[in-house]
Amino acid sequence: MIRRRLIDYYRKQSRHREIPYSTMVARDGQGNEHEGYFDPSCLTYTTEDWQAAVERKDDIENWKDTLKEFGLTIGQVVEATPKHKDARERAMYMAKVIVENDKLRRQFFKTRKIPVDQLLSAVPEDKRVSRKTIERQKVYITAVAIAMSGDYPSMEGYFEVCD
Amino acid sequence: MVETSKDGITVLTSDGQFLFIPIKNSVYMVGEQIILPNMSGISTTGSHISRRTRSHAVYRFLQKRLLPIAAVASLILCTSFFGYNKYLEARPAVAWVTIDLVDAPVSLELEVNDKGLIKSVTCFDEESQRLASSINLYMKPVDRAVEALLRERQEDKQPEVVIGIIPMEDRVEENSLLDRLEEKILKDVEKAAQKAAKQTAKTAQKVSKEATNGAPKTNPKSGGTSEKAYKEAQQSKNLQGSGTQISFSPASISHIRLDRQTREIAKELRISATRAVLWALFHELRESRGQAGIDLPVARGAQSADESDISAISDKLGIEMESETVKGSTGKGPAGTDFTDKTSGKGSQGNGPTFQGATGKHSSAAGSTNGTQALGKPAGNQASNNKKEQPGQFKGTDSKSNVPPGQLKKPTDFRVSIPKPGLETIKQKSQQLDSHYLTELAKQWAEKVKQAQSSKPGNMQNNSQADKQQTGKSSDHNPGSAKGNNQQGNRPSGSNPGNVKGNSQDADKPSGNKAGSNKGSSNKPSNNSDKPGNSRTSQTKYSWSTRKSDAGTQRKTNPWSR
Repeated sequence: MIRRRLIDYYRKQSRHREIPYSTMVARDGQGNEHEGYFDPSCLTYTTEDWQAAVERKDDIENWKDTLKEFGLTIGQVVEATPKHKDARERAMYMAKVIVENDKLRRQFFKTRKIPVDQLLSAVPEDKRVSRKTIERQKVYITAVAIAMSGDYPSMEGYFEVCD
Repeated sequence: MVETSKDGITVLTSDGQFLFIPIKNSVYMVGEQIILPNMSGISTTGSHISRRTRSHAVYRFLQKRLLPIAAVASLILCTSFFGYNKYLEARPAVAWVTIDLVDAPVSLELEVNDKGLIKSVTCFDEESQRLASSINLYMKPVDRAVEALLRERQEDKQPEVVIGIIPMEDRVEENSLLDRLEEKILKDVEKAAQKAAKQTAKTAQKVSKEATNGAPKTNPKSGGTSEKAYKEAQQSKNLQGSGTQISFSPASISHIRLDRQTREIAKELRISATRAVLWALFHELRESRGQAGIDLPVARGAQSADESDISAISDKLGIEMESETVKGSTGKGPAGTDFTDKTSGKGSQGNGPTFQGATGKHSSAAGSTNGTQALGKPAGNQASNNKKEQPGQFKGTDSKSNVPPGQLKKPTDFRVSIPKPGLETIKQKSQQLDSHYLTELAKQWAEKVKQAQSSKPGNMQNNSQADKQQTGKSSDHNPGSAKGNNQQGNRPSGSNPGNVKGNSQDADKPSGNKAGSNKGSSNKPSNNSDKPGNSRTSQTKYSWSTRKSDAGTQRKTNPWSR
C-alpha cells in the first residue's frame, strides 16, 4: 500500500515538471556564480524511467522475500535456470499453468511445493513433460510461478510464454 | 538488475534467463535496466559469464585437467610395469599343485600363490625336469605347465591328468580362498587341455597336408616327429574325424584335495602326494579283497626281463603281474588282467580280483635291484614282498597259464605309473574322500613300502649312493634293467633293476632304493656324468632363487640316497 502511494506521488509530481531554482546557478571556471545556468546532468534520467526503475526494484525485492518463504535464494535460481531456450520456455509454461489454474495455485501457495501430479494432469498432452524434468527444474518453475502470480507486474513481462 | 553484490551482479534477461555477471564495483542498482556488455570473448560456464583470455584458458586446462590426468597416468604406468609384478612376486605361496600324467612317467609339483602363479617347481622325473628346464614357468599360471606337458602327449592317445591340490596352511579361513584357487586352476587346466588338443590337431593336419602334397613316397616311419604324430594320430583311438579334419580329444582331468601330511609322506618316497594317494587307494582296494602286497618300484629294465625270471616270481607269488602300461590295460590281456574296482561298476574281465602282473623270474632273495617288481595296475605285488606276502592271499591262477606266451609283463614302478583303480576311485568319490582319511591310507601304505624295502637285504638299499648301486641283486634279475640307463660297468650283469630308465630314479641306484629309504633331496640334481644313459635327477626342485645352482649342476650324488 505504501508502495502504491509512493508511485502515485511520483506520477503526480511528474506532471509538473518543475525545475528547481538551485539548478540554475552555474559556476564558471573561477568559481564565480552566474545566474540563469543549470546543470543539464540532472536531465539524464527522466522521471518515467526513474519511476519504472523504482517500481521494478520494489517488485524484485518483494519477489526475493517471497522466494525466501519458499526456501529459495537468488543463487539457487540462477543455478537452476535452464541453459536452453526451449527448456526455459517449457518451464515457464509449467509455471503459467500453475498460476492460471486456481486449484493448483492455491495448493502451490499453501504447500509451497509444486503439485506435480495435478500439474501433469492439467497440462495438455502435446506440451507435457516428464516428472523427472519437472523435478530437475522445480526451483526455476517455482521462481517463475511466484513472479507470474500477479503481485509483481514489472517482472511478468520477462516471462512471456507463447501458448 | 535483480541483485548486486561485491562479486558481481545478477540480471534477468528478456527471455527469462537469470545470469550472474562477475563485475566488481558495479554502479548499477536493483531494478535498473541495462544493456549487457559486448559478449565477444566471453564464455558462459553455467549461468556465469566470465571473460577468458587464451592464456588463462590454457592455464586453467592445465591446472584442472591435465595435471590430474598426468598424475594418474604415471601412477598407472609405474604400478603396471613394476609394482604389480613385484606385488605378484611378493604374494606368498598358499598351496602345492601336483600334476601327474596317468600313462606317462611325468610328475611334478608346483608351488603356487593365491593368484595361481607358479613360484617353484619340483620335478620327480626326467620328463618333467626336461619340461621345467625347457620353458620358464616362473610366475606363470598352472595351466601353462599342463599345456606344455599335454602337447607332447596328445599324439598318443587321450591323456589323463591328475591334479592334486595341497594347502600349505590348514586354517579354516583359507578354505574359501583355496576353493576359489582350485576352481580357477581346474578351469584353466581344462582350457589348456583343449588348446593343446587343438594345437596338436593343427600340427597333425598340417603334416597330413604336407604328406599328401609333398613326397608321396616318403616313408612315414622315417619321417620326423610331426609325421609320426600324424600316423599315430591316425591309428590312435584319440583321432576323431576323417579326411582333412583331424581333431584330438582333450585330456581328461581329475583332481583331488590333499593335505600337508600326505605330501610329507610322499616326500619320503620321492613321489608326488597324488601318486602316493592313488597307490594307497589301490593298495587298500586290494587289501579289501584279501590281496596284500606292497608295490615297490621296479627297475625299468625289468620290462625286458627274462621271461623265466618273471615266471619264477609269479610262481612264488602265485600271481601274475601285468604292467599297466600295456595297452588295453583296462581289461585286455589274458585272464582278466586288470583289477577293477567293483564299486566302480566296471566288470573285471576274467577273474575278478586276480592280479596279473609282470612275470619275471626273480629270485626271492634277490628281487631285482629294486628288489621288487613294481606291480602294475592290476598287480601290486612285488617280488620283494615275497617273504611277507602269503601266496594264499592271492587269488589267482597259475601265472604262467595266464600269461600269453611271448607277452612280457611289465612290472611297473609306483614312481612312474598310476594305478587306474585308484584313479577311478578318485573320479567317483572325490567329494566323499576326506583328506585325513587319505593321509592315513598313504601313511599305512608308505610304512608297508618301507618295511618291504627294508626287509630285503641288499635288495633295496635305498640309500644308494653312487657306489652302492651295483649291489644287490643277482644277475638273474633283469638284464633288461641294465639297458638304457644302467651302467653296465658298475654293475654285475644282471643286477639291477634299480635303474629305471628315464625314471626319476637314478640309474645307478638299485631300484629298491627308491622306496622308503631314500630321503628326497629335492634340490640335488644327480646326473652321473660318468654313467651314460643315466636318468636325470629324480627330484629336482626349481626354485628360482636357487635355480642357477641347480641347473647345470651335474653331481654324482644320488638323489635318492642320503
